[in-house]
Amino acid sequence: MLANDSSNMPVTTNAHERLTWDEICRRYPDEWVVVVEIERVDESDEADDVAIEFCTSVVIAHHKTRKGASPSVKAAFQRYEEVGKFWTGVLKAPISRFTVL
Amino acid sequence: MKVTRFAPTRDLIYVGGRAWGPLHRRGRPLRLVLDTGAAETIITPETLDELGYNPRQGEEITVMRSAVGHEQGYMIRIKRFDCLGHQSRNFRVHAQDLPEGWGIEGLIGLSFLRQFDYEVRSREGRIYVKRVSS
Repeated sequence: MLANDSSNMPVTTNAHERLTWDEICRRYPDEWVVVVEIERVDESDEADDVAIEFCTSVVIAHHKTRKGASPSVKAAFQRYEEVGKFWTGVLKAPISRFTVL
Repeated sequence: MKVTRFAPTRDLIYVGGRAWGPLHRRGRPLRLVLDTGAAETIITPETLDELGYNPRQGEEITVMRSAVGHEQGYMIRIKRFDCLGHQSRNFRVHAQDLPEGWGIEGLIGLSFLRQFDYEVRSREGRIYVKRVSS
């Protein structure tokens, strides 16, 4: 059974409610959401590939940390063919330059 | 020519990707940053773990130098990797942890991008990508 980070209670999301990305961000601010059944908002868009911002999906779990969401992803793959994990908060930019030694 | 759409108002270019592992038939959607300044394509170790990969399958240990010191990772081949409308099979990625605060699960570096010619239209929020024969 999936659960969020703050407690061991079962998931409180309505697993059948399809939401836009903006709705997900408002409902689960600054969290890692585990989503399934990802579909494009605009099927007529010419793009071959679109970011999650242009999709709707169903949230099945939400967590405060990325690592905390990992067990939910693994559990969700037992039931769903497609599972994603996304941060709803502000995306940070300070990417350092790395060199593989 | 494949077209990928991204949100042009963001600080960086965030795009969707998809990785396949031993446990998955349809692949795992990922949020990635397009980084033309990175040599390797990076995916976080926990994502690879969710896909069913084990560090023991890694081809070599890596050390990356960053502002905070040296960080260990490893190179590993994944069954299939899709991004920017194209796919690569048996694709070599760098398993490297990234700060949680970045909100991403990986970077698309030149190890993936050099297979293509591409045009980034920053104001439009679209990337046009064409595979080139080697």
